Amino acid sequence: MHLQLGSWRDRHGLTRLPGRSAGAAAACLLLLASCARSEDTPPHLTIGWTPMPTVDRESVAEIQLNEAMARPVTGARLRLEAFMTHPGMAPVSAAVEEQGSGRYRARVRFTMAGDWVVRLQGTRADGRRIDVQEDVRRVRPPEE
Amino acid sequence: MTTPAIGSDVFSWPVIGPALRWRHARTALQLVLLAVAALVVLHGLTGPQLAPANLATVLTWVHYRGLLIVALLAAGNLFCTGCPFILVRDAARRVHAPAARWPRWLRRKWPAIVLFVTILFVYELFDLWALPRATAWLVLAYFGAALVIDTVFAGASFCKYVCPIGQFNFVTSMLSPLELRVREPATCSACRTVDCIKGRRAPEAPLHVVRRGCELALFLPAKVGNLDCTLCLDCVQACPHDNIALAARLPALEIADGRRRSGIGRLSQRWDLAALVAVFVFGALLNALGMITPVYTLERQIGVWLGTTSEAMVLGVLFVLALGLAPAVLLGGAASWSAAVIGSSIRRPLLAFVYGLVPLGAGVWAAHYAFHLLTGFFTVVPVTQSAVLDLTGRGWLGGPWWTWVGAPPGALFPLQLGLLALGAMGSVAVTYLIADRESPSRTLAAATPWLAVTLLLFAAAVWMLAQPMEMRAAGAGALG
Repeated sequence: MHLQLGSWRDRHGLTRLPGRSAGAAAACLLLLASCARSEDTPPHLTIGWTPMPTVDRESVAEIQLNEAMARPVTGARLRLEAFMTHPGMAPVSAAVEEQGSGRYRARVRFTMAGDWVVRLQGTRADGRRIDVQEDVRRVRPPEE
Repeated sequence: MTTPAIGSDVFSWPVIGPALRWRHARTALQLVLLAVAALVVLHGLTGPQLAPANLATVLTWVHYRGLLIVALLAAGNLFCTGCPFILVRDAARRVHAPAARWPRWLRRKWPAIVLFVTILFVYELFDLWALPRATAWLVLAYFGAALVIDTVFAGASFCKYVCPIGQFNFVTSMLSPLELRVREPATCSACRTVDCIKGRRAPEAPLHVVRRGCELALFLPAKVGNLDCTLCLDCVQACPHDNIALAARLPALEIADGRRRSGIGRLSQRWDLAALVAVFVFGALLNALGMITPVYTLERQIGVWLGTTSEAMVLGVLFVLALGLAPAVLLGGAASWSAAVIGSSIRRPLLAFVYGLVPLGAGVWAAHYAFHLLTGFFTVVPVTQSAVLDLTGRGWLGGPWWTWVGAPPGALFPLQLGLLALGAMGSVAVTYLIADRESPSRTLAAATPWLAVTLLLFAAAVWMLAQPMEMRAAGAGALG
């Protein structure tokens, strides 16, 4: 009986931990992390808003996407998602239309006051991935 | 006040009872939470630094906090039961057994209170909810602190004296409907081995402890309520007489219990516990205040008064006002009034009545965290899909479903109001019981100032809930 208990408990009465299993799990996690895909160099993103973002009012996002050396990103297929900085809140999606010369346009209706992050994801014309984001500081409440 | 009779014993329930009594039940739960913690750390450190799209921030600030308070109010201190920090600590103790005892002068809640306030402050100053990497480091810091402290000091020093989450759980668990309690007091009276506190030893030499006793120094026959109980079930495993029940009880009633508590003493003699409760209650309001639009105006105004644009300084003043001045004025004023009624020093009613505010404080925390949990409950699905996409480059089940969120925010106002009202009613009832204990002849007069404080804080909480929400992020700067 003692031997049986000893195989599960140490002298402090603690349950034996599967130490090797924990090590293997940690190694797997590191391996998974190393498998994460490397991103292309992200393009430079600037967004102008008209009018300034206000809750429940449509704002037009004038988006400029440039590669290095100010070379515009043309022919990209993009989608826009805007998230509140606080996790767990409903995001906002918008279609993105190309205007030419690296300019794109989306119409966004923010749903809550506060700070948002606009995330643009998609692919370039040559299939390389785009994933860039920009902060939208303090979307105003409707009464301001 | 006598010990109420044992209610329904969860250990006797089918399926749940045997599952809880299984000797590896805690380890199994800890392994689940350890896996979740590993996900949080991994994604927080390596995933996108966009809070709503990172498992670190979503699981920590939406799900963990919300489920924690739901579990506390619906059952008991289950998140201390499944605490993964302790699993890692136990593993480390196999390599390095602690030899020292926690210093006597630190055997109060003061270190934990300082950490509790610090975390609230850091959370607001740096907007931790918006920082996946910082959230991951915070989790790692918890693991590190538990590891270091409990491999140096014996017992559950980290849980009892340091862990801010633990203190939050201890206070809230006073409202839990379940409590570990002795089944038959006569059996304990006849017990000579007191395994529930000393641990059960092997029947033969070298007499090693084979079942750990309570590491938080709660001796079951003298244990009153849930305060300081991590629901680790060590006592249940150690008791050779199978004399411990997980009993149903009337939530919050223990708050009015003035008896000496094993491992704690009398509540009415503990300044540190009273301070912890004050931070718990006023901290709940302060934490909720940070979510609403008027806080901008208030912070700007404080900045103007101080002639500064430093957010740290403005926030510091706000914290001093909310966690120092407001409790001092309100609780001190109420205590002065009650002291005049009772004919005692201010200290006596202060240390007796402050605990009556616990239900209201828990109501505010619950209303706040239930909001995030329910409005963001399903976000874990698209965020997990997004993590899989980031990791493998392939979508899972058709790509992130960002429209999976949760309940619309406006729909939760009645629920939040209900939680606040329930908390306020609990505080009113408990305050009356405390007044009945402290001043049987002038019960209502002694309770009146505390009932007024309860109503005032309740009104403040309702006002906050009715305000438009406005969520800020790191560096946004309320003063800019």
